Amino acid sequence: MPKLLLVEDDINLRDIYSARFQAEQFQVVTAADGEEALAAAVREKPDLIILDVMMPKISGFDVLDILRSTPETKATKVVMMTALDQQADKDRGVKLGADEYLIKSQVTLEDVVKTVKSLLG
Amino acid sequence: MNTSVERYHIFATAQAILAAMVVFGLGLLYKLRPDLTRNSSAAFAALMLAVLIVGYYLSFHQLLKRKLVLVSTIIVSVLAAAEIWLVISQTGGLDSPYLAIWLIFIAALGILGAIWPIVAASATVAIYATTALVGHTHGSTLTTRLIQLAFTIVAMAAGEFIAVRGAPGQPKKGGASSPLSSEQLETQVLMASMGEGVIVVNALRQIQLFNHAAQMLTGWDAASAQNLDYRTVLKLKTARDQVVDDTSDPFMQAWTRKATIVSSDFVITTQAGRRFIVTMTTSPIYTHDGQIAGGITLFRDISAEKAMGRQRDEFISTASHEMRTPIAAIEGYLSLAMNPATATVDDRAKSYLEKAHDSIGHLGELFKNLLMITKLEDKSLADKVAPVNVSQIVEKAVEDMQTLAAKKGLTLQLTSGNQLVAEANPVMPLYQVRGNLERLREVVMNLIENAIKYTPAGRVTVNITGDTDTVTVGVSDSGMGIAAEDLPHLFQKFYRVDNTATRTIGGTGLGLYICRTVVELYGGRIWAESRPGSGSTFAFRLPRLRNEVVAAEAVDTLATPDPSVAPLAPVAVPDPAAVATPAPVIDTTASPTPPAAPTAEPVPVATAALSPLPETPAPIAASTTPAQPVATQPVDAPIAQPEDNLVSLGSKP
Repeated sequence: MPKLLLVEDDINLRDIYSARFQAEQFQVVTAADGEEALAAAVREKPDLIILDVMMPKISGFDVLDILRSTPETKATKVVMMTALDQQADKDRGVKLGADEYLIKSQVTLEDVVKTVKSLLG
Repeated sequence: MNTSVERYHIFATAQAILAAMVVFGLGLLYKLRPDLTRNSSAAFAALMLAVLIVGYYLSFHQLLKRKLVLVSTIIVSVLAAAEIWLVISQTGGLDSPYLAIWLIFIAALGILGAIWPIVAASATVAIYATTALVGHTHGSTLTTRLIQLAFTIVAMAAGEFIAVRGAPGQPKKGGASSPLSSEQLETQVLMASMGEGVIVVNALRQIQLFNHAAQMLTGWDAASAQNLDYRTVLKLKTARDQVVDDTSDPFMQAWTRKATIVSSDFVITTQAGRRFIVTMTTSPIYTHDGQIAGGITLFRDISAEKAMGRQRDEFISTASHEMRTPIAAIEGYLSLAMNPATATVDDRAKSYLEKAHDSIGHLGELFKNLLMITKLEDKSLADKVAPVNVSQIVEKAVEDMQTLAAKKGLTLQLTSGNQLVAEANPVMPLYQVRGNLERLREVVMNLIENAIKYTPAGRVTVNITGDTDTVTVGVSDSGMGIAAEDLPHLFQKFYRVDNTATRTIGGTGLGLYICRTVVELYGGRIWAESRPGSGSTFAFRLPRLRNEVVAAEAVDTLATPDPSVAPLAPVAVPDPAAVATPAPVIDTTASPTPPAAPTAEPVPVATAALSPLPETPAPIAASTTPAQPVATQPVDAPIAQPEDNLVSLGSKP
């Protein structure tokens, strides 16, 4: 059963994604901000992290940067999910080592599921 | 006439009159008191000099006074100094009555602003008085001599003082700076009453006029700023905090380009150290013979406006984030409710949920478009423009849209100059334009998405073509077509073609308006042509950039247009549950006659007539066959017209 860490500050979206991924037989762990995310990433060792960018405390970009420079989480797959739709933001995410960069307004829940599944093979 | 020329003219005239008086006086002296003339040859020399001055005044002075004021002033000054010397020594040395006349003359010169003649005359008198003092040539007492010397110095100082204080418009030096005329300075009253800061400088960029508003804005008073380099006063910096050099200096720019320059991002530091952003309108000032005399700049504090623009920008991005969040939540919960894996609902509830899901999707789209329009209409929030490769945008857009087209069973193809671009023939010329990559991508995506949306069966062809000056992208479909009366309104805000078909197809009525705004923003035009029943073509044309221009700019947008991975269609794709039934939007439209299986039968290419597009768009070449499935559909029957409907919108490039 693949383990998914869902980092999202909006409680509704957290709820929705949890429900949807649980239906796909994922084990879902959630975090509501950057700090929680980093702690959970090391503790839970998820197979994949869905990472929001605009969050309290530590931004998604910074979280990703730390994840990539930490040995335990270096290879963990990361899907960035954000409202930031500028090419520059996307470039930044990709440069920092995101496996996928999704813009919230442009994708549906099902697209996210599809992306996650294809990343995990 | 020029102010300093006027002053010089008065000076020279006064000098000539004095010289004439000397001639007359000396002549009188010879006749009446020959005993007083101690040295006849020196007296004769003085006489000759006086004649010379008068002669000079009547001849060369008249020629030189306009063009070479300084040279002429020096000549007159030297002649006058020599004259003073000779006359004083001839008329009783320091006891001479002429000495007093000369002292008065020196002081009076100040009124004329003639600094150099004052210095020359004063020096002469002073040197004479000093040598006479040392030599004790005459019987006067030491005290008398000292008083005379003191008077000379006082006269000189008075002259200089009057010259400096009384002639504010007079530049201290001539040379490169052609001074400003009195007419140019007469506007001072007008300028004093203006709310904008006004600074007039001479060709050396020294401040000649500094109005009340400029004083208020900078904290300098006009007297202190007078004749200072304006850069010292304004402490002008660019928005990036770089000191303004000659290449960015507004006056230099106005002078080299011989035009009014509007610069909006300079930062001024006041005398108290406060910094503010200004917009400066700078124009050159010319002399009557077309030489650059100086410049005038109007400046205004726009810090508040800038701050407001930033707030607006922040508001828009916050609003878009804040409002997308609940929309995303509603959309997400509806998806969960509709998905059999996460919820159980009966069929009726599911159909309601689907409708709610569509509506929320529409709301999200509407909201996104409104924000986009707000951004586009506010020029201050305009995106960065750079050379972009349209071929690449089109190629990518077609690729991204394949999923959506396939879902409806449509063929989506890309042609370049009407040649099919495929694996076998991937060659496409490099078409580059100036614009914003994201915005142009949205335009292309929008046009393709529309074509797919309004085409129940058949194909959508995206064609890119161009000549040396333009690039044209056309999206043609084999869809229902657009009635003549609707064509002129397609690109208006919130315009929706109202018929049975469109009422069931979701749309915000903003997409084409956004496309038009973007295309026009980059100097292009957009238009539509259609024949009801046999498809439509939407096309835009943009000015093409020459490859050299692009190479020169070496912009990285081209090198890495999209480094991202798997492209997801930027369209809200209904989730599988919803797609399992035929897509609800198309469902109702297609119900009277189910669309023929489009991929199964070879549908002729409906378009392919876009290249080369004439200035006025030509009708689509009628390469459609009457047997086309679209034509048999009774969709927008009431407004079908037999003739071609053309319309062209948008500003001419």
